[in-house]
Amino acid sequence: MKREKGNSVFLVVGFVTIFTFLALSAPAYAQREKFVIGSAIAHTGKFAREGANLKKAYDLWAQMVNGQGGIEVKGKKYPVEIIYYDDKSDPQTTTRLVEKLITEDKVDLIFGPFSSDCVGPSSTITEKYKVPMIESAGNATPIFQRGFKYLFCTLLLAEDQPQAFMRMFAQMSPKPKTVAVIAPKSPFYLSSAKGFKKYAEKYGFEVVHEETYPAEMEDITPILQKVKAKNPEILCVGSHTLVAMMIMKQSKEIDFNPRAYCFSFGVRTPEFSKELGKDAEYAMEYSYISLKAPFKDSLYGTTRQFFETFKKKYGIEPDGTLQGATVGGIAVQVAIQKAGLTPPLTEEKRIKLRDELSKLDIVTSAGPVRFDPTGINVANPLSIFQIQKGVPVCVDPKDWSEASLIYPAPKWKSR
Amino acid sequence: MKISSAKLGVSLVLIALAAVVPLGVSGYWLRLFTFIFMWIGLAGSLNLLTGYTGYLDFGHVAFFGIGAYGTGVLMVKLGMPFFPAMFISAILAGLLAVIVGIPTMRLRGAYFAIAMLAFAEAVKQAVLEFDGLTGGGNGLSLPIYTNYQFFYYAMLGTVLLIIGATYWFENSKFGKGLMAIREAELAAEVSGVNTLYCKLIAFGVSAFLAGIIGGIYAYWMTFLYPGDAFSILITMRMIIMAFLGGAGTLLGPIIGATFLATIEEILWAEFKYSYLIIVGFIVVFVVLVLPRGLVGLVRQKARNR
Amino acid sequence: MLLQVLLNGVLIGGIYAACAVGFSLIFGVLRIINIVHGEFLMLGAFITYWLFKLYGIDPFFSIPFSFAVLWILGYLLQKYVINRIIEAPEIMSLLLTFGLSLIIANLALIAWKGDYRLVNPEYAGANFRLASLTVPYTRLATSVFAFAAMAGLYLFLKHTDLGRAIKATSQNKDGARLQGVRPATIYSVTFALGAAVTGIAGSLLSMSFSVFPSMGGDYLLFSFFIVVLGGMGHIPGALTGGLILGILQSLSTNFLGAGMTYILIFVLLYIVLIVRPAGIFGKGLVE
Repeated sequence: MKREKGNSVFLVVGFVTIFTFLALSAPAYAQREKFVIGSAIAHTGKFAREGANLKKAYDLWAQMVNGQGGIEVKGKKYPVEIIYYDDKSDPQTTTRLVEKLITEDKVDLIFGPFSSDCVGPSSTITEKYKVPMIESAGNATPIFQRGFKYLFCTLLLAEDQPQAFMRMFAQMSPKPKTVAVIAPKSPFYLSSAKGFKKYAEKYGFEVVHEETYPAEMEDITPILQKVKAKNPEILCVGSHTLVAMMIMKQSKEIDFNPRAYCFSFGVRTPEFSKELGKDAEYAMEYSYISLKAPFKDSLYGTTRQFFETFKKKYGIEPDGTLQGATVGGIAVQVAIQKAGLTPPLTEEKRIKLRDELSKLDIVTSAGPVRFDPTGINVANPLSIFQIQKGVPVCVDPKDWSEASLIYPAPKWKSR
Repeated sequence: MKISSAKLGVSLVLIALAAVVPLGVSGYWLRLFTFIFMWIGLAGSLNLLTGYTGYLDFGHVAFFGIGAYGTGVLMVKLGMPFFPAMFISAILAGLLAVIVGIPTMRLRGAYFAIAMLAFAEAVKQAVLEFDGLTGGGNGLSLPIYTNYQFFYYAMLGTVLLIIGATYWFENSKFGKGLMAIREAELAAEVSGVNTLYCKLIAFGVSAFLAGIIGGIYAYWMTFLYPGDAFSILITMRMIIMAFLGGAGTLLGPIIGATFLATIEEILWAEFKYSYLIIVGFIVVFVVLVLPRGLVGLVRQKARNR
Repeated sequence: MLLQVLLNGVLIGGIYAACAVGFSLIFGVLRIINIVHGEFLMLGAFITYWLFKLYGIDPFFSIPFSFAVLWILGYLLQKYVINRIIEAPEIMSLLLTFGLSLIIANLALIAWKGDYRLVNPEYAGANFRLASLTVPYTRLATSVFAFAAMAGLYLFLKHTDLGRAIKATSQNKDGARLQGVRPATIYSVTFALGAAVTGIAGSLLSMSFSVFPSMGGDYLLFSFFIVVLGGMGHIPGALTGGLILGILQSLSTNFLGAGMTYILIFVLLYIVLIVRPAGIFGKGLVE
């Protein structure tokens, strides 16, 4: 018996020692000549690809800023550094890591994670500690109905983005009449679907079918079959890359030929055209600015230069989320300068930063920004992109367009 | 197996330490410890059923989720304060387990596991479907309460409760009955053990405790999604932790949960892409080499000296 | 309309059935719940994808490759890993195969990233009209292949020496041993066969649905449903179970909506387990 007792004690002592050791190895708080920004972002998990792209946008901004020597406050320049942790696309992990960034790494502010799922819970942490979070990847409505003051999203609300489509269709003549809306059951898609319906009705279209389905469903043909029977002219889908791909592929299989395929996200990702090949043609997605938008700022230059710099460094064009991330970076930079804040940002300074952000009304090469009281960037312009010859091109508004809208989309059999 | 005074002493010291931790550490560590306690609790609640009766519940997350969503819905729709909402939801989970258990526990082994999996998936889909009540795919947003020390103590308290229940299972006549069921159910039945009654009680208690943890989790996270709250990964982790440490023992879930959670914390910082593979190897290793878990290993060493 | 819904159900049902039949076989003979089943599907799907993407090999011609690769993998896994716990309580094989599935799925994730892939040859989505029905070529072909594979398996088990040895082992291990059959070899061959058939099913799946490392999980759940309904270890039952699932899913989604369909499937699975665990035909193995 003595041995057993000895062993249990040994185990217990072992654990206590390990914990104490871990607890004592927390980093010390240092004086800083730079701004430190934290970001819990997906390196692995279901959002790995999107997270990787988001990181590219954040990194490019940091690189541009540091290329100018840093953010200039009161005559002195302070470089920026971003600390990243992998949240594995899991909201629980994002929350833990954001708290770690705030309490352990003592960051000045947070660049948001990817997806509404992760932004929702983690913004509770930033709200509690009064640390501003700037993000461009979580815009489902419920997140912004909580009266939070420290959350800023440089995109429009997910449910307001579909306006771009309806606005465009309403100006066509003859005007299409019928719309069908489908979406998997997850916050972002549902918000998009809500928006599609809201604006369809607002602009005078008839919603002949609406349906949501469990996100795990791979075989969407039964639903598409139902939609096909109602014969809508326009198909609207709250989507992500996978959803969009499956809808195109399965529509072809059952010979469903709406005149327009409208998606909320996923069409502009390289995977979409790569995997679908010819079947990707004519699919559309809403987005923010295009290459030809007339904006500029002192960091990237004109919009065209912003696109070119991005493309040169990463080989891809920045999509809505990445443009939004850039807007966010510049917004933060300008707000810091206007408020005259030096690092490290104490709680008092962060409150000032937050106040400055809420008053901000500027234009950046990636688009204008002005936040409403809930933290949404209402100054965001909207545009529509369509896949033509394997490449997403801007088709609306006309001033920014790189090509004309192809409507109606040719039937599958005649492609 | 009466507890020796030395073991009791060590336990009290640990509890005292645990009680004062929140005063000294920062947000990240507090959250980490709370997290570890939650998993000790979940593994422990599963252990009460699977470790002692031998019935493997592949759908245990259902009770966690019911506790979480029940608490959320009651707080949001009826404005109920946290404690009553949590208790009612946990009791609901326990009752549901008993009701479901009556027909399901006639099945053995794999079939019971699959039936419970089917049950858990059905509950998840129901929560998704009836979104007027639960928020469905949009998620449910609970009232915000950011006193994280509260959640630390809540989880710690629940863990102590579970340890207490496990201790009782280990040492009572009731518990002996359960273990008899685990070893040879038919023989137990024949020798006068009311197997159905015992199994249902174990199931109900196990579900109730999982429900409590679910309720605390909901309030702690302030956001619930059906995919997260009813994820099969939660069940799998509970099972791995219980078996890693040693199912059917008191210390097993504690050691298993702490070990796995700590390993994960250390591993994914270094091997962010491959840590799940390492977890997979750990599981395979445990099954092939240490079927009695880490506790079994320690006991074996003790016996061999 | 109804006819189209039924047709869709039958076509998809055939594919689902092919997914489940390997699982049923393995359980019937080795008595283990093989969680790696999902990963066998995934690997078969990826083999087809890469052969198509890198070498332009038509998906249908990649099927022999999936068969071969999964056969080898299954054989090795069983012989060197799973065989060690073949006599142990069920929970051990559940945990073991779960651990293996974690390893394989995450190795795949590291190798191929979480991107969603499509096998989209030129003819994908092509369809023809039959009266008022639209029949997609690919689904029809994969369905036919699925039926053929299952028929092949059934005939193999019934009419070849090896097949009969397998059946004998599943029914009475000691009796079979007396006849000169070595259980250990049978186990390895059966597992290999189950894995290989599942690999084929994975290839067939890849032609209609997206391919990604964690795809195994959902199909595993469906496989549970199918084999329980059809009877664990009963091959023809897997076919019936698959068709029932396909038709049920198609009908229910059309009339009740997708969410209710999932609830219905799981409730039905639960009820069958309680009321008739041996499956519809009563030929399934129960403890």
